[in-house]
Amino acid sequence: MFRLGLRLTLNSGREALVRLALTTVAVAVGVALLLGVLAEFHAFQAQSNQACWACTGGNPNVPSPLPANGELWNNSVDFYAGQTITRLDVAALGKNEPMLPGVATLPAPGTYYASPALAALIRSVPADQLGDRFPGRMVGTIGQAALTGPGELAIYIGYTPAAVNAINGTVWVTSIATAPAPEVFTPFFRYAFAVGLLAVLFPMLVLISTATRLAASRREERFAALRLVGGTPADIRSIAAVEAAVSAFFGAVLGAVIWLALQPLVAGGALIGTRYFASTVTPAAWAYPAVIIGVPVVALVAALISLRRVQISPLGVTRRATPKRPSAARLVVLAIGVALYFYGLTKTSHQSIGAPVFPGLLLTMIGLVIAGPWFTWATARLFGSMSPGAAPLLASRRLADNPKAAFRSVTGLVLAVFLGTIVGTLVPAVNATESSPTSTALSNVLLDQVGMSPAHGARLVAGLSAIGGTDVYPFYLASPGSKPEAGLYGGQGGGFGPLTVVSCAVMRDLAVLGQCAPGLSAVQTNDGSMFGDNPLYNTQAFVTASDPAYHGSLAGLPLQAVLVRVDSAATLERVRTYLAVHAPPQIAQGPGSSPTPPRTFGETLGIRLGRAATLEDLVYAAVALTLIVAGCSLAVAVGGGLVERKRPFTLLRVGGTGIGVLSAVVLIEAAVPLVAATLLAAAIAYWTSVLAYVKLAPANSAIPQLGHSYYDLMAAGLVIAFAIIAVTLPLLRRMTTPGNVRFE
Amino acid sequence: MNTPVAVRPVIEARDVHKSFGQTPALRGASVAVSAGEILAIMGPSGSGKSTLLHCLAGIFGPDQGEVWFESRRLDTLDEAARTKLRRTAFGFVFQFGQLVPELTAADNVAMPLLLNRVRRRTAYQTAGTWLGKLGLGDKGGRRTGELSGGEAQRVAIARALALGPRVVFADEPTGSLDTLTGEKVMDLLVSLAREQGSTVVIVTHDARVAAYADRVVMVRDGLVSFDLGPEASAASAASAAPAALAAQAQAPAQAQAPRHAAKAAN
Amino acid sequence: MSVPLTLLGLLERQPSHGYDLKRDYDEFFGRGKQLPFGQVYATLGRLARDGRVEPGEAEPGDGPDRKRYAITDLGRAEVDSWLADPVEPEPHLQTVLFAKVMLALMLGKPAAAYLDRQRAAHLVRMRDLTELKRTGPLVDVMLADHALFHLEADLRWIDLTSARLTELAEAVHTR
Repeated sequence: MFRLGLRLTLNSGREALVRLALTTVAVAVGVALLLGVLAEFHAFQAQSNQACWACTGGNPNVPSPLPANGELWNNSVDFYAGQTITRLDVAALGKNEPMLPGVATLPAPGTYYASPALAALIRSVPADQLGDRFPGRMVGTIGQAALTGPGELAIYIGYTPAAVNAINGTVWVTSIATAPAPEVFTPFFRYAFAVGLLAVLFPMLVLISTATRLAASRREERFAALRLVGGTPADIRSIAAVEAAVSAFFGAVLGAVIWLALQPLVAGGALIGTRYFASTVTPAAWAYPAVIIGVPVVALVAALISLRRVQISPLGVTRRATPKRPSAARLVVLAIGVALYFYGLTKTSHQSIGAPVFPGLLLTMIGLVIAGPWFTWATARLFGSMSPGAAPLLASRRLADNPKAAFRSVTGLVLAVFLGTIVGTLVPAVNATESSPTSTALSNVLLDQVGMSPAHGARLVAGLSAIGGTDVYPFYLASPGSKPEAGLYGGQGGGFGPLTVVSCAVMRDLAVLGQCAPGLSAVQTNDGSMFGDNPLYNTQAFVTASDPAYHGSLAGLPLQAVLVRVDSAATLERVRTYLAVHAPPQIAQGPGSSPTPPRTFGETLGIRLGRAATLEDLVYAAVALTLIVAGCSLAVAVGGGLVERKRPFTLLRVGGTGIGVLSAVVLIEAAVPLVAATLLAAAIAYWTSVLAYVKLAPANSAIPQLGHSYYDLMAAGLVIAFAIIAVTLPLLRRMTTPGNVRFE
Repeated sequence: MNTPVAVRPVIEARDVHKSFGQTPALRGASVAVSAGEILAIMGPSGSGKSTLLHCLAGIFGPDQGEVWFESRRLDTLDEAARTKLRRTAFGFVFQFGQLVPELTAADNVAMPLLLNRVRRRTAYQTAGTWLGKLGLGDKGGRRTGELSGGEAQRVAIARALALGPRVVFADEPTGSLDTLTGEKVMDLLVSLAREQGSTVVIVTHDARVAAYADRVVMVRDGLVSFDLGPEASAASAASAAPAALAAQAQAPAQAQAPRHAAKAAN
Repeated sequence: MSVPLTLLGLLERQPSHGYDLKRDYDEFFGRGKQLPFGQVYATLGRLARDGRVEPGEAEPGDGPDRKRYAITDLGRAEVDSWLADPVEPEPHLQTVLFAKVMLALMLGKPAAAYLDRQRAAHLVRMRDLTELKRTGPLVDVMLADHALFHLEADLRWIDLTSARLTELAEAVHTR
């Protein structure tokens, strides 16, 4: 039976080979994408499972005298051109101390190891912008084991124990952490990958089942012939299974080959925000056999399922009854989903999203797929009754007769449109709420929380002013004589910690952050809000007319923080270099804390937007994946449909129907379900998103509009879909040449 | 109306009723076929003759009545057993052959054997032999979709006979063929079947095809209403002699006399 | 089947005696039914009178049968045109059967049964003719084919008439 099935699949003429090729290519594309997604996920996993050595908590009370075992660590963060630098100033206290990952030995005092990306920068950038921050000379690079990506900037700087102990915030470390960093977004990214996987798998299932249904009527005739001469239903099933599995197998192998060919390209690029190490951008070893075995198995099962509903009798299908029209009951699930969603929205507030929203959304998506055939039928009827001419009549009749089949080929596209529209509506809107107009006024103003004594603070301010192109704005602490620890307070809101003193002249320059009452020279205020990383809040004014005046000399006050306006990127880096050398470092205070390196407000906003953009990219990537696979599905369905209708179309041509009319029929048949369902999906997605946004967003926010990247993506998808259909039209002419069909 | 047969019939329908939905196709048809006999079932379209054939072949069971094959009840056998009969004991030659057009002639002929788990080499050897007997020895590798109608029917006959069937069921085997091709096909079918000792049941509306049979029955309105057995032939043997033949061809009016004599003898 | 034209055609091959002509005719066309000598000579006489053939010199020997006849140009022309013209399609049996069916209907007798019997007879004849075709020489095969087609045509008329009996019965009784 197996050989018979093989025979029928591989050796039954040109038409069968064309079908086989079509299926193979389509499956191959899907498999290649699947492997790509798995590879990215593997890389992501590798990255997030990377041991976080920087998370090591040390003992902040370094014993005195210095102990003879362990290491002294000063773990801080710096910034360069939009990227964080992870910096470790380290000294060994004894021999055989815990080894730093990525290097063979601890750096000796006066030397440092830098990550390859940082090393390259140090070599290429002027020293006063970067290299001067790091004392000593570079003796090597840090290996992959310590880094999360090839672009990461990290450095181990060697010191003598006494030297490093003198730096603010040094801790005593006896063992290095091996647990991964608790990234707060990791679960979300995992979820997003799962969605991406589904975005490829679901349309692939549709694709495979469409491919197995190709030429179904011819297949039924063939099976009837086999039944007549004594083939059992089990024999038929074996043959069908072999046919499906073989073509899927070829597709899977081809897909793996395509993936392997493209892998270097993918590995080098940063698809979703960060770059991964090329060696990790590969699906796990089990993925290849799993796909090469799994995909044919799925195809096999799909073929068997499609046969289950068909009883092949030895006399074949003699009278083909028109399938029943889709009942309006199909709309029920969609209605329930939308209703549930609305109900969930009523329970939604700014604090939390009402629980029924998620199942509501899911049901809406499922409901779209179920209701699709009904919409196709209704649109076809409407279209047919409204448009004159033979082609619309033929097309709409055929659609109305079998809307299920017509819709099946565009299911994937519709889902992609739905998801894409939601993202396209919500993400730009959310982004827009984050960048409020006031924030851009401070985009070139750097903020560094330093916590220095009055004398050191004065030197710092003078030194910073001496760098060309800078305006320095100091903020002082109100209680003289205290040396606050850096990094203890930050974040939004106020009411904590000692008050801050600032001169009104400074505030005039930093007008966005507020104004003193007229006539005052200095005020006491609370500036906690500007240390947060939410651009919406960190640029809000905190100095008001009600702030009390400060009547003392500012010169004797400890320096809390400096704001520095810079006039160029080079100046910015020089400022940071100066701060790295002369100001206390931004320390990581134990596991879970995220220290803030010196950044401009613009850079902080950029990071925030970058994250949101990453999320947007992720979902758009999923949508694009879905579109590609769905496009393949459409191609298979349209191409296969043409092959199936070769004979009736040829007969029509012989009877005088022009090729133009036939082309129009094919176009309309594909276009109507596509357009109808797409518009509907987009409409539902848009309005559900708008309503959700209105509920969740702050008052007075604008109604979200769809940005141009959305229109670009959707337009691209539709254009590709129509292009696929259009490509088959010349084929139609060739295939229906009357000379090709044998009339007896 | 059963024709009494001395030998036990190889295949027999007894009072078979069959309806499709509301439409009754057979309303108590009975017919018995002896071993080695060639039987023609004639009748107008819609008379139920194809349905009778399908019941005799066990393709489906009757609503009422019995079908016997070699002293076993055929209509009560389960689907698997009847399917097995179709690849071991029954051969089929239908109007369009019911061949698989994408497969080669050899594949099609070997099919029932392969389905019966005969070894590949043996099956294809047998197929080759039979294609040779039907004059298609060099066409074994061609796809049946590319063959002409007559060639395809010959492939169907090869397929039917290759498995050494007890009964060959033919339904309008020459229906889509021109006169000469149809004759050749009937010649081959009848002579090869006789050679093998197979029984043949042919459904046809064409009298010239029925003329190849030993016995003709008519089906009308779901009943077997007319049975022309072989013994009727003896009475008209004289009038079929070359003399009468030529006379009939020469002078139509003069040929009436010997004709009437034969009819009176019926 | 026209006897004079057939003899004329045979003569076109070569001049022959009447005896030879009859022998040839019997062999090719008269299978089972011999042409009487009288008819041969009467036909030849007529043909001679009409100028289609020319009697030759009587040869010394036994009597008038040894006259050798030869075809004339007129005769040749006539054979040509006869061969070229199609045969008039005559309804052979139908006229007789038609009368029988009408009579049976008029007299209220079982016309359907009569038609069945006629069909049986036709089928039997067809079967025998088919059997003949398997074993006989080509000439027999061609004749048998001819007869088979006519019988088939008759059968079709019988089938059609059987299907129309009720109508016919009404038509007959309202006359």
